[in-house]
Amino acid sequence: MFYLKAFLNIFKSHMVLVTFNIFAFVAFLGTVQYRGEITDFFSLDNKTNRSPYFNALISGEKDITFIQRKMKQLPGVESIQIKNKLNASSELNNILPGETISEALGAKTFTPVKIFLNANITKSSRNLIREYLTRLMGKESVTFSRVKYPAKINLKKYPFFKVFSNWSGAYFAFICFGLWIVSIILIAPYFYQQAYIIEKFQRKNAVGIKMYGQLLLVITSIAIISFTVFNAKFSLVSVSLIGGGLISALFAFSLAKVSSRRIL
Amino acid sequence: MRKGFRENPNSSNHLRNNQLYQLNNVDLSYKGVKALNNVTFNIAVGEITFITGKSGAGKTSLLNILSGDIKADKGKVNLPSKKIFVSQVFQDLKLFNNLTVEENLWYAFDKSIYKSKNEFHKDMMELASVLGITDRLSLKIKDANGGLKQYCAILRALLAKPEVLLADEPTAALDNESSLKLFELLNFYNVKKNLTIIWASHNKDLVRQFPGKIVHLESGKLIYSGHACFI
Repeated sequence: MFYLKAFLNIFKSHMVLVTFNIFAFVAFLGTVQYRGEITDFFSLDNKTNRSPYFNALISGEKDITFIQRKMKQLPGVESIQIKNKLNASSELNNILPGETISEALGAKTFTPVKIFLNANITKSSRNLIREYLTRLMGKESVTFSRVKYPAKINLKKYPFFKVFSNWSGAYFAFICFGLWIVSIILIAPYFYQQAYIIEKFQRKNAVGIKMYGQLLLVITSIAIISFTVFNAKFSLVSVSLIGGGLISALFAFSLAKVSSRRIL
Repeated sequence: MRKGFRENPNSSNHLRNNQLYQLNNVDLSYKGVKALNNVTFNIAVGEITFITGKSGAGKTSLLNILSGDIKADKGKVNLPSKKIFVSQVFQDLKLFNNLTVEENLWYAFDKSIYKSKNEFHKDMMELASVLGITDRLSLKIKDANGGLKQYCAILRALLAKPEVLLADEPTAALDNESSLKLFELLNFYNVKKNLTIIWASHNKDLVRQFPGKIVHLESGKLIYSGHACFI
């Protein structure tokens, strides 16, 4: 508690730098623990393997929420995107101005719907889904596009992005670690300044490293409790990386004592 | 040495002959400029030593060597063992400007020497009343005058209950009367508690009024080492 109280005095006088240091450390812990999730988020594979889909124009008179509910219950349907209603005659007027066909259609409206399918769906299942929608709507109330597949990005053209996408979690952890070490080097002189005064007036040794060590211990404990609350599992790799990070940080903190001489 | 008698490697000469500090032919340079040149002297337990000299004579460099903060380039330096607690009054005082006088004094509160906070507080108030600053303890250092800051730095060092006190220009911001009052206080600690005092000052006339040993420096060279009455 003594060392944490002494740390609070540093915090009061160097609030921005200390906050940055703590934030960088927490970010390091977070990126190490959730590096798998970060990698998944940035993975190009996820972006390139999107679901196939087809468009449908459904008569505006039909109850679209009922269709959406029914279609979502079908196996093989991933999601349904409903767009704003279209007025058929005005749309036709845009394409073929002056034609009488648009007048014949009158005020008829359509709702465009985009139906995303499961990535591994078979051709027969696809056809069954389209048939089901036709049966649900009636043949004259619905029209379909063909099933489309989103264009795949040629990863060979972007080798950097491929490597980044596969290792993004590790990169972010490394960047946070770097920022943390830089902030340690910036903040260490103020810890040593405080420690120097305490060592001169109290019978204590190595106050600086004890102060920073205790701060890290408290933050790590809070982080571990928080991760546990969110059902995080601690892999051996995560524990080793965090342990290695802590040792490296304390080593950097000790080395920074040399640069602290200028302000003592 | 008697034949067959083995000297204990842990007992150094300077402790056996009551010497706390022994400096022999000490040299120190900063970027090629000699701060100390061939300085030799000893300080015994319970002694009051004044290090005098003009500004730039090497007083602070010598105190830094005695405090162990810097190492001499050449020569032999024997410092007290780690069991002997050395406290310091710095030339720039090293007080925390955003804290009050009292909060700065609490930096000397060490659980290993004070039984309770009450005991420390009692000592603090006692010393503050001797120097007449009890009514100004709640002032922030940034709002305090030079004299109060100086007193605060000295009280902090004394409240740490050291065996040795290194004081660099402790009367720089004090008038003659206040300096005498301070010396009386330090002298009391020296007589009653056997406190060894090493006091650096540029004011030779002031320190001549006090009993003690004088180490006089000029341009880093030791000019005189001995009792003040023999100058």
